[in-house]
Amino acid sequence: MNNRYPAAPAVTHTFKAFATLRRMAILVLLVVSLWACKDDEQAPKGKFEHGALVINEGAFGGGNGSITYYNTTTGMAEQNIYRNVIGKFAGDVTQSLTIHDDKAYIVLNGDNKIEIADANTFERLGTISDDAIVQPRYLEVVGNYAYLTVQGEYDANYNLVESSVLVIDLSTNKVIKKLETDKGVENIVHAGNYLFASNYYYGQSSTVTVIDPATNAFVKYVDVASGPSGMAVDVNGKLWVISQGDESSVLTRINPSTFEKETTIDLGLSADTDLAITPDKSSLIYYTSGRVYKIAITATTAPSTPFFTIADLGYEYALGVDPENGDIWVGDAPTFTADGKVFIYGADGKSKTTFTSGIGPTNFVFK
Amino acid sequence: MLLRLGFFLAFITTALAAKAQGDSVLLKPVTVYGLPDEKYLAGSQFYTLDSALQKQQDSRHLGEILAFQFPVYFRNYGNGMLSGISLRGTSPSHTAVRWNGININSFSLGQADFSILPTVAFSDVKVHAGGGSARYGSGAFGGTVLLSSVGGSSDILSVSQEVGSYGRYFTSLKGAFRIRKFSSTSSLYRVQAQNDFPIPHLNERQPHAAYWQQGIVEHAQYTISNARRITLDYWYNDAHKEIQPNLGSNNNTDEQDDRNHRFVLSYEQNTAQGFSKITGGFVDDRIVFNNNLTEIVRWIGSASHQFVVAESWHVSGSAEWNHIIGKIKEYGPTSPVEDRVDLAASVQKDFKNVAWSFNLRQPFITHVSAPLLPYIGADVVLFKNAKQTWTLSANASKNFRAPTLNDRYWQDAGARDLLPETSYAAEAGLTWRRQNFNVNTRGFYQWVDQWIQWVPGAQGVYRPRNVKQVRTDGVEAGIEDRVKIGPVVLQGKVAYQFTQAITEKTDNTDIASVGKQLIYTPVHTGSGTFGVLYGTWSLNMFLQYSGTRFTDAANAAMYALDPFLLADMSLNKSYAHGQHGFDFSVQLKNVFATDYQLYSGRAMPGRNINFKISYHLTRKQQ
Repeated sequence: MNNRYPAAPAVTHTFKAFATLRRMAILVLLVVSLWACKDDEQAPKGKFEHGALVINEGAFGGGNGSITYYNTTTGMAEQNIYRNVIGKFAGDVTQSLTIHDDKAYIVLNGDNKIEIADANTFERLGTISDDAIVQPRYLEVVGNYAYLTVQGEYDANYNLVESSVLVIDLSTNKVIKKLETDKGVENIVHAGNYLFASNYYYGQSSTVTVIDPATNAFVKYVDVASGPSGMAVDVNGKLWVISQGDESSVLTRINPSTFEKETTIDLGLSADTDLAITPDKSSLIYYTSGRVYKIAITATTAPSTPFFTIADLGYEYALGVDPENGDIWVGDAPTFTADGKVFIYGADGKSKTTFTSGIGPTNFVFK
Repeated sequence: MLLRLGFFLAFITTALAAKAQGDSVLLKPVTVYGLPDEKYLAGSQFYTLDSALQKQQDSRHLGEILAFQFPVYFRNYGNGMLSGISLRGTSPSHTAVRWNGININSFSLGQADFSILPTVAFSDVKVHAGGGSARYGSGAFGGTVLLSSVGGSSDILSVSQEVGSYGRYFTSLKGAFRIRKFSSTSSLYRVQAQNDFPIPHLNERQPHAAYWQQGIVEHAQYTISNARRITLDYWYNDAHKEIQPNLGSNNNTDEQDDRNHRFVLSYEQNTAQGFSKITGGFVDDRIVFNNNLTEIVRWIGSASHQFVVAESWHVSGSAEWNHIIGKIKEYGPTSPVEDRVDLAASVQKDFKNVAWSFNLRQPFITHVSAPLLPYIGADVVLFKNAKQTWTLSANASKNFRAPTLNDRYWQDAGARDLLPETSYAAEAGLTWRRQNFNVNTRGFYQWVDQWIQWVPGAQGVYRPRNVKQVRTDGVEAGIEDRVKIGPVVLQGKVAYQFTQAITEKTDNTDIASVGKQLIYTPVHTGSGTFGVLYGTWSLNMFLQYSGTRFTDAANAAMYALDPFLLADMSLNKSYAHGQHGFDFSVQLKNVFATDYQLYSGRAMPGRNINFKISYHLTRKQQ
């Protein structure tokens, strides 16, 4: 763990922060697949128009976060497809990527900025920077506004002090509003008429923030089990949230119109923070220590046995499901000191293939 | 452990018996002086910091200038930022740094940060390359940096002022006096830099990298008699840094302060019975990272005795005790306290053509079982006549590094039962000297076992474990010459090192590193210094070369840093009038505007300039 080395023991502390998982905003898939269908008849827009992207954090502080493109047709991977103005990598701690309107918004947690790329060619289009962008995590787009979760500064005791959701006007790329939220805000998803942001804070926060994109105003907090992180929207339009919980992890189903908690399922184990959903949006996928679980949205109790197990996994760091064929992807980031690996399992839970990613694969985007 | 102690005591007893025998024969009083480390580490390689470089660039920290002197690599996290040494293919915690005889590596992190070792604070800088734990204790795998601040200059007063690029200013003031049996040398220094250099190839200036550093060094001495004296050394260094972020990063606020108090009080006596030294010391290392304080306090006591038996057998024995208190929040509500005791003995003998030495050390550390550490070495003159000398040098040693306090006491991660890292090292070299012309080559090998690495375990928690085995080996060659052509003196020194530092075995999570070169450890390293002296003028050029450095464990080309050649030049002129002297110096740094990085993603400045003026008042010639 060479990135323990930088400055003071403090770094180990910071590192722990990054060791918690990042997850993808599943809603991106909806948006992307819509665009993809529409453009089928036209000439290719670029080399990276169809396929999957692996978002690789890079070594913390090393500025070598990267994006891997995986051609799902040929099974070929291409590393480091996006270069920032420095010209070598995407930046420091590439956290997540959201595609909207043929633009890829790359959230750089270490660099405190958003890089904008052409989503099909990955040519650089620009940067969104603002003093309020401190430890950004995830971005969701509704209409012409982007909603960016930011953890904010740590104080001297490593407490987060000003987590918020920033509203960015995508016509000017300026931050126009800061909505304060509970500490450690993480994922953000658009479900029904509202935006839902999970306040994780390594299990110390236990709410989901509701924001009304029509007014860009805070609506309310929904209380859930401690440490909510990954979210997904099911076939019935219901929002699912996975929480770390006190004893074991918990799945909560929330009605996105009434904000009622309709179901809670104790998973009976300590799951990782990612949550994915199958293409029919009827089953949820979660994992822990190489064991991948599948649970139907109609279930009332958690499965006792895993759907499948990945034996030779170093350190699971990303989870995703290909919305076209239901393949389950797991990212492996053994030490953050060398390139990671992606395991692909079929919708039937059988191992299909693996490929090399950049350092610290943390999220997948399918397009 | 008992067996080791027994072995150790037997060694001492034999030495003492030999002395007793010697005494009975030798009744006349002899003057015994403490031998320098070079003699007790026969067969070893030492580098001394070039005095011209030290004088001209004493406003720089050691991590900025040592790589111009001999093949070594420093991973500097930006300009003026954290600086870790990679000596002979080892990592930064595998080089011991000692100041006036006490270890000053960070006891929490293991390594020494060379950016808080300002050259101005030292009167003497020496580096021992290779395994030396038997003499220098924990962490002396790649080598040991030996610093001293004992004054020794003939100046009564000296003042220096520098002005340089990117808002850089340096001031130093040194004074010395002697009143009868008491003498004192004091220095004050301060360097500060805006450090907003233009980032090469980017239309931006480096944000958030300003720093300042200041300190005081005091060396006082009271001579009781010709043979007895008391010395006091105190050094306080206070450094503040805005942490230089990686290229293209915004909104950075990280700041770090390092405040280090080091105090050593010694009594020395040199009598017919030998040379004895008793030392008491205190070290307080504070790091304030974003207003979060960590502190390690250390009390040190040591005693040593050197004597001569049978006229030419030098024997020394020493005991050192460190009492360490780790006041770090992350270690838990009760600050861990530990004691380290080292017992060491050495013997040295010069035969006609062979200088030979043997050292033995046994450390004892709370909760840690440390191995017995031998060192054996010799310098053999193969051939010698009036014009030239051929010398063969060789040594072998066993070395160790104690787990750091972080490794052992970090709450919910540290492991009390970690084993110390151990290494076996051996090297051999050949030197040919013909007047001022000197060629030397050396091959070295080291096997490090129980290397500690933090690896992820259940729930993604990283814990330190003894998982790694590393082999380092390589060869080094150097040429040095000095010629006089009329009134002009030309001198030059170049050196090259080929180093392999290969992970042989490690934890499954880091399997990608097996068979690969350690990160930030260049295979090829070079250094060169050239000087032209003409009367009171001198022109110097300093070079350092570093080959490709991998920054990821699997050695992927994509993350590697490109090789670079860095050059500094300086033009100097001195005036002397009676006791008064003035020195002027212009330094051009990074002459070729090399675009380089010493740590992934951290910019370094292009060509920049520095002016220096100094005045010194020397003692009246007696």
